[in-house]
Amino acid sequence: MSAPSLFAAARGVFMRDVTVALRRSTDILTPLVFFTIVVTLFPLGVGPGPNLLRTMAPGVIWVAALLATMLSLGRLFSNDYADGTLEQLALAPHPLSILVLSKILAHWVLTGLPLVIISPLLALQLNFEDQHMWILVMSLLLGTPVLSLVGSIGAALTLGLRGGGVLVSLLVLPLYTPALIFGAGAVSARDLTEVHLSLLAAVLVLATIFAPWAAAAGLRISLD
Amino acid sequence: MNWSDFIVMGGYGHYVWSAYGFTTVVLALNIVIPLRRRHSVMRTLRRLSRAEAGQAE
Amino acid sequence: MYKYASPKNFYALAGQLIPWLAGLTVLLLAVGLYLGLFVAPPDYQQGESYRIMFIHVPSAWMSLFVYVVMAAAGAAGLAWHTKIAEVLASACAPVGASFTLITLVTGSLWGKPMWGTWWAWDARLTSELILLFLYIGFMALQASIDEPRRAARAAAVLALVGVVNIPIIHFSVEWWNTLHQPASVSKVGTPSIHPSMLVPLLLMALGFKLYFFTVVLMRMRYQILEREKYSHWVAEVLAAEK
Repeated sequence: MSAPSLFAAARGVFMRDVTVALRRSTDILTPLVFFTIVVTLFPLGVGPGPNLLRTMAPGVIWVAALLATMLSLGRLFSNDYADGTLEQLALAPHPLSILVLSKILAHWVLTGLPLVIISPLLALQLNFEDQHMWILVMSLLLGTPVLSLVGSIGAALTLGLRGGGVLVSLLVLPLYTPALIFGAGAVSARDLTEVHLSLLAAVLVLATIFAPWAAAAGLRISLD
Repeated sequence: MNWSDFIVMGGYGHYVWSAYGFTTVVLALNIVIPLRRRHSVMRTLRRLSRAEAGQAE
Repeated sequence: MYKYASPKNFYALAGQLIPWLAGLTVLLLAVGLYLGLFVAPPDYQQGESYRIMFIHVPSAWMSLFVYVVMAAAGAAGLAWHTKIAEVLASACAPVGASFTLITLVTGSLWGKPMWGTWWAWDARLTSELILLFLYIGFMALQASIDEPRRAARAAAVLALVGVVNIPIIHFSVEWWNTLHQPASVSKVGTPSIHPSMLVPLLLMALGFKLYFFTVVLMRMRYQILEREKYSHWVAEVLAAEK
């Protein structure tokens, strides 16, 4: 029996991850609820003054999205690691980095994309103006894949370690800085939006090329 | 060389000397800590080799 | 040259080099400090407080230099599986983190009389802060993996990812800073460099570099002893250094 093509293998990995996660819907809902709670906490912390909230909105939403993504990184590889699937993937005749890219894509569809979709609702809570909403959504649409991609490197390196979640955060947060700066900046610096979004897109392209490869290297180190 | 002028550093004495002081402490720690680690590693290894020699008898 | 890749030979070589490096370090730092503190004149704009520059700027340079060495050593360890490279990377981290911390504290102390606040989100200080987090992440990752081989290789990947990211992070922080910083706050900039200030600065930078080499070799030596504890030559070393 011949081995499946690379595309079939990648699609198989993607579909499997999505199907499994849809069956265990708490995995998808938890980051969303966390995202919502964090954004809600800010007005409680700084007071409901509409101008202050409107100024803070891009940063708050972006930081909340960052934290929610980081929380969900743990399950990117850990379930497959526990049941041995990950080793099978590593032994497969296909480049591990492509299979990892599939997993990251699945992770983003399940975690990042929902964040992008409900972000307008949360932005309204922070008095964000309607006409600029598209910038926020666009910045998150470009930025959340970067978070999944870069985060996968941290998840791969810390596979199976105690102190898991906090350790991943420590490793990955400094690396998130450019995405945060360009993403939140696109929304708050009105006249420079296109520049920020272009820079963010460039970061996305770089991350797509290099992160799966680094994550695959990390996985091999963790699996040995 | 007017020593009191030197210490006061034109009014910035606190800042300048705190900076130099902190640096000295950190650089000194980076010397002391490896020396102490070396000491304790040697001590542990000596104890291990003595235990092994004891077992061999 | 390659015989020094063996831990035993490296240990001996390091032991011989350390006294010379330490001596040179002390010499360079002494001359640099003397010229910087006693000979160089006060700055036209910043008065005497600029003298913090003689430790702040070399520390900033070192904090980056050490990270690059750490990442390069990590890469060598990944490519050639040499223990010496792994030990070098691991030894660099605390020293690099120390230089980063010094940069932050001295930058803050330099900035307070200039800006009136202990911390300002100056581009360089913010970048250094993120660099500190990168160092801490490296050390935390190594510390949380018990098996030394896996710890070294995982940390090496992290260091390489970090080193690629540093220019991007630096650019984004500079960008962010120029967008948000009101014009009245000036950067912790080096004053216009007169030769009487440049010479002690370079001497201090060189002295810090040699300090780094000295301290790293010291760290590497005890780490080698620990990792090689079951080998014969370590037993001989223990017996010899009674």
